Amino acid sequence: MQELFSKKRISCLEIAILVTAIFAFAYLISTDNIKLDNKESKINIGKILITFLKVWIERSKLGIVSAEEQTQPYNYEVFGGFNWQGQAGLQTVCCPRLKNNATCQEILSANTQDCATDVIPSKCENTVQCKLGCCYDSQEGLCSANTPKDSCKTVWKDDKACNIPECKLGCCVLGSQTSFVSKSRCDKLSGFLGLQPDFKAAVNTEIGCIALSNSQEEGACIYKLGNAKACRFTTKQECSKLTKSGGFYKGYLCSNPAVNVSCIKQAKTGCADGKDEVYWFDSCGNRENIYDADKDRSWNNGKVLLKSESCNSGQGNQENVNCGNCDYFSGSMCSKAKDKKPVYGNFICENLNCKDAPDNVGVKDRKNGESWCAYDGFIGDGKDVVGSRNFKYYCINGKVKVEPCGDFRTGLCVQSDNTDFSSAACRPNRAMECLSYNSKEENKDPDKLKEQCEENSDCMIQNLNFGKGYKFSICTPKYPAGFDMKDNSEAGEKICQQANIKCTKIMEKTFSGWKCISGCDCDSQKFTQQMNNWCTSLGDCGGKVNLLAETDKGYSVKVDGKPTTKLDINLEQYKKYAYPVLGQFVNPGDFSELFKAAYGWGASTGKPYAPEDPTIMLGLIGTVTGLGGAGMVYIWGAKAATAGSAAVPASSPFLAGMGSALIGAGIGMAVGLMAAQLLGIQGQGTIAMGVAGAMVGAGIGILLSTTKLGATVCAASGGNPLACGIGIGLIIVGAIIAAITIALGVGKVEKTEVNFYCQPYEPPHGGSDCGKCTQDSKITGDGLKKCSKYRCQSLGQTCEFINEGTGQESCVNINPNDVNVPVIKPWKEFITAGYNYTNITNRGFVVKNSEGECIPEFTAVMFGLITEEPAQCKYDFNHTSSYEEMQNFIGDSSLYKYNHSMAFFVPSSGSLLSQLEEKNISTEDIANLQKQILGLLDFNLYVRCIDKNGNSNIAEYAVKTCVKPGPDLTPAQILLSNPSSGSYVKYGVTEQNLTVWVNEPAECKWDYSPLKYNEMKNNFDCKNDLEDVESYGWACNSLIGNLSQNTSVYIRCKDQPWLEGKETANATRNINSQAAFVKLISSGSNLSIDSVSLNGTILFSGQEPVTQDLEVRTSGGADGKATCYYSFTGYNNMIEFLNTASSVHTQPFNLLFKGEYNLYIKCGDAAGNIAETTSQFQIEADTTAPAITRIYKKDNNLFVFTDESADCKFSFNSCDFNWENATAFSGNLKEHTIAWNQNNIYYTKCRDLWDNEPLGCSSIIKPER
Amino acid sequence: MKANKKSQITIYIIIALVIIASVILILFLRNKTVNQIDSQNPENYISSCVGNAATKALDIILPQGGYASPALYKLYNNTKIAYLCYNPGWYMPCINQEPMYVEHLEQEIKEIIAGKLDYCFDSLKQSLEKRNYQVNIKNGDFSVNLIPNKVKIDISREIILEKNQDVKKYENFSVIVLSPIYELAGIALEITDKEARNCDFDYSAYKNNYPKYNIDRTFTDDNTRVYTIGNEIKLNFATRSCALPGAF
Repeated sequence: MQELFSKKRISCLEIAILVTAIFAFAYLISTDNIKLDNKESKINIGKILITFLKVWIERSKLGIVSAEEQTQPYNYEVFGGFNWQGQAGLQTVCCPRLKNNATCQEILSANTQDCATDVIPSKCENTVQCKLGCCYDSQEGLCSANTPKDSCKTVWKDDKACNIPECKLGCCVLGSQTSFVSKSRCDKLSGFLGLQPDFKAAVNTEIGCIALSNSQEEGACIYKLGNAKACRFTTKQECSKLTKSGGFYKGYLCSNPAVNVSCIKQAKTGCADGKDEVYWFDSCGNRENIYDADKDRSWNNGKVLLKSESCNSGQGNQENVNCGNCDYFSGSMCSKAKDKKPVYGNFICENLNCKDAPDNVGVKDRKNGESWCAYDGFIGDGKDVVGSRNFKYYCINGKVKVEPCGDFRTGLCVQSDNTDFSSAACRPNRAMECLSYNSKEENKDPDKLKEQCEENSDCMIQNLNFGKGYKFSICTPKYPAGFDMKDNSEAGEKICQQANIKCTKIMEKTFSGWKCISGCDCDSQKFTQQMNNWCTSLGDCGGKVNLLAETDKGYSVKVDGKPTTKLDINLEQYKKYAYPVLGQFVNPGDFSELFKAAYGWGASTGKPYAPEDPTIMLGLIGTVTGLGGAGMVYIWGAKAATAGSAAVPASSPFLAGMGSALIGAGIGMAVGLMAAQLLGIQGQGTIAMGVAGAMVGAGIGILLSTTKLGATVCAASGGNPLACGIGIGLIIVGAIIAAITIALGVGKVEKTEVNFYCQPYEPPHGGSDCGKCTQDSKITGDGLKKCSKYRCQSLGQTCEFINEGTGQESCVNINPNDVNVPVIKPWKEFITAGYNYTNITNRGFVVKNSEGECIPEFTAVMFGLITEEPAQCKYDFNHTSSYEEMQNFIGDSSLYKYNHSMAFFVPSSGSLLSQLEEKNISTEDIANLQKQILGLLDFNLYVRCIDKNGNSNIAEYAVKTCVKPGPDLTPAQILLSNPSSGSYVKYGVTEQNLTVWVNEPAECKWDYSPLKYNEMKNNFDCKNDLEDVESYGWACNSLIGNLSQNTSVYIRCKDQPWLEGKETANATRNINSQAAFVKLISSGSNLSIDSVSLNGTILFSGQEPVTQDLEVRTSGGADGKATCYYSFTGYNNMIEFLNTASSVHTQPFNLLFKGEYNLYIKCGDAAGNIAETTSQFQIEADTTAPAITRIYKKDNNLFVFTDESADCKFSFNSCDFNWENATAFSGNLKEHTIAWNQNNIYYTKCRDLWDNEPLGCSSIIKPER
Repeated sequence: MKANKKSQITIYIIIALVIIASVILILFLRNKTVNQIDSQNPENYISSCVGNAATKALDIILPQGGYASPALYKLYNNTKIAYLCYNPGWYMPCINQEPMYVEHLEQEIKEIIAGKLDYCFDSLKQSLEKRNYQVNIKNGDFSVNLIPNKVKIDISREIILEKNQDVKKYENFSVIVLSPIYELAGIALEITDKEARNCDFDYSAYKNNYPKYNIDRTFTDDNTRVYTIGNEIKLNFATRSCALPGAF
């Protein structure tokens, strides 16, 4: 009975242990993450301190922005991305007249002093006087687009693109010339020349109109001059102006004897107004046919010889002494002869082509009108050199001219791929859009990111791979934009910082040796090369070269917190990029989408790319492993328990032994894993220790089950010898495995942290090369490429572009004789409140608080330095002998500036020691480290600065401070939350991740009411290792469930987690007395698009392009406000509406052409609610004249039918009649009638509602004779 | 031999005197041609005087975008060049600042020559009065009209000259100054219209199609475009449209 009782107890104990083991296993496996081994924990304390300082230096930079800004990641568009929001987001007002006299300009509300009148608190678009539209000058017949209503003194129409009938262009025939103008302008111009207006609305292209000018029929016009008979070679139209009685001899020259005037043929040669060719002129000064040395052929028996029938037609005839058939489009035009003497006369076809025109590389013959691109160096692949610019060259009238594209590479020169006749143009660089793609929610799928990135021809995908855990793709600019490092250097620096990354290489000891398990290339040059590629593609960042192929490193690498040059790449490889490559030019790209917008040059929003944090990835893997392990252990454990418990009543020695063995194995494995955990053994070591533990446990289990009490040796007690042997064997083997595992150090890991810092390219010191901006032929392209601000800046730190925009620009060295080193002083205005600069001397100062005390632990104190000239400053913790030897930039900024700031921040000695204790360091080591820590409580920073001329301090400038050790009496402070309090939550969502950042390691809890810390039911998962500090502090995460309409979350934290269970009177943990509060508001409904104005409509117009506004209305969602985007091609690369961020979103279109349109619309609100829709509409543009479909006579009436509603008129004389004076048919629909007179010919013309009419007659109706 | 020498010297002296006399005569006559006011034809004087004033006015306004004193301008090559289309912001098309440009030019010329016009009539009056004419000039308005290749100034004033009971009456003077300003203004308006609509003006294509007038365009670093159009007589003006930010 006692034995049975004892068995029961043992069984209960075993079950209890089994159950406990399940959780123990789960915990052990789930926490089997990578931990520092003993070896690493022995690194000097300075590294940890430097890590802290580095992070908190960055915090010191954040300290000067507002809290609201801190919640938003850095946004490219603020710095010039293609985003209307960048402007619209700012509060603007309308100023009817600025002080500089500019009318109707939108200005920032902060700049109202610039307005000469009262500002209107609205967009100009919404005001009466400044609404933009089309000003139609009825007097001159001219149209002016984008004109404020008040500036227009005649007719103003509400269409800022002037797509109105009055401005519809057609061809105005003005004698032998034509002009592509509006009808009223044609009337005006005809009036000047005394001609009847001849406006051909059907000719609706400029080229067509120009072609018409050459097809005017000309001939000899005979008129009276006094009493004499005179002749003028002109058009019939002009002839009618000269004479009514005289005659017009179509196709005759005045020298033709048939016209009977005394003009002698071919008296001289010359050029004619508005004509390309060299002509013969008769003795009366009349133009004859095109010059040909074969006079007879040219005279053509006194009749007009068409250009196509003249000598060498279709050729340019450049410098041809025999033929004057010049052709502007072939590169020749009549001009006075210079080098060659024609057979007759002094005029010749001048060559307008450009021989040996400068090309991108070398020279090339170019045709007149041809344009091509010239670059300063290699383009694309993110390799454009600092200071480079794109240029459009073109050949015009024999000369090469240049048009620079936007400086700082904001403009790109694109070229058509045509070897015969190239065309080039400058267009905006969409580089900044590339970066925004990375942060789009839908682009988390790498394939989608790639798709969207490659749709934009200015972007490219970069694949980075530093080994497992560090493999990712990123969309970067192909042609990175340049930085203005003089006026906006900090923005450039922030863009470069996008490519700052921490890469951790993790090595694990296995039975076969050390093996890399993650980030294997992090500590290799491959890492630096790939990172530099990324870095350089962001802008003028990283290791690259300038126009003169001068290199600058532009990046730094630290291994385990220490700067190193071992991973540096060879920058010589970049020098080749300073030279242009033959045949390279920028892809024109597809801008159709953008040009469909009214004035949209692109619109995108988005957050900057945040590279996937490999640490998070590993953490996730660990969690998954832990959960999986727990599940497996649970199943296994349950089965074992079942087997074990079933074995007891069976009283079978074998089964009992097996059950005990299994239980023992389970317990042993748990113990083994715990031992592994304690010993810092991981990976294979953990498994080995687990196996060893299991074996030992099983052996003990067998021994226990085969002996009465299990305490005696089995052989001596007469137990089962086989089982006893197995048990002992297992114990021995397990012990050996464990011993070997420990002895070999299997499972230990080593981490190597490599940080890459992407910094702006810094031009060379001094300004010895400034003059090259205007003088060096490599830079100036033989005088064609003008110097600019950007080009000048790239040549030297002290190069400055002067007289900008005056036409007398120059790049000069502003400080050529500077040999003085920067003078460093404390920045007295900049220091954390409650602290002072003391003991200020020329050699340094001390930072202490107002009471003269040291800085308390976990307190960040910001301080600053001033230099008397722009300088770059570095610091070090140790003494160095020169600036170059120093390791760290102050504030992590490599910029040359006057003010330099950074922060001190030191964790408590308790927190440092506790972490070291956790790492199982010997008491002796801890004692040593404690000494180091105490030593660090009083430390110095040694500073040197270097100016733009390369003058640096010889003596160090010391910034001294100390840390005040003592009990931490202040609770942890929550610095930030994401989402922030008051944020909306997506509709229908019941859970929301909440992250808070605290200023020191702490354990935090939350609840729906402000309960006491211990009463709060929900825990945050807080990262409390000192290395875990992020820019905003230590992060704590939790999932907030049961979200209601308004959910209040109360948070309290308990600091100093390392004191858990070790609190003493002098070391107690602090809890927030006042709970922090985060309010989350659920969206009341889903966001919906209620209406799209153009949906399903057919818009009719009589001209192209058509102007039409799109209006979209949304409702619901977070706060009723949404931002909407549209596209004509799909949901990728959408364009933000011109007016949005409300419930009504409008977008004007003024370049719509005939056709069917599919419009994709997507709206989103602050809570992440999304609504999408598509809309179809159609544009019908009637630009053709009505056609007569049927004509008949009935009852003395003439009936005419047209294919569309029209007005018809006729004349009895010709098709060339004046519409206003002509007789109209009755009826203005499709049927038209007029009384029939069989003695006349009806020259009939019909005009539709849109004023479309035929060039000649619609029909000539003649009676049948 | 001596006699020969003397006669040679005499001939030289005579030639020298003739040359000097000729020069003096030419200068005298030239001066007289310019300044002499023909009482028979005061229109000529007015035309010359007002024409000169108009030419000077054109010389002032054409390089400055059509303004005597531009308020909204770009300083380029030490010249204030007026913006005809302007937007100080980024990406946005320019706003037309002078849609009634021809009317503005007419008004600008009118304002410049208004004072000079009075001077011309006053000096005519004084000059004729010195020659014992009784001169009565009735004040009236005048207009400036730009037409192809010309600036036409119509002056509605009446001059009555009286001398020895001989009365002559002149009225409605018309002065013509040859200038392509009208054509240049038309091109300028076309350019600004295109800049306001499309952000840009393809001036090389325009030059191909209409080679009669030369067009040059210069980019400045604040995204201003300075246009110079014309051959011998040139019109400068500036635009700023759809400007791209220079850098970050």
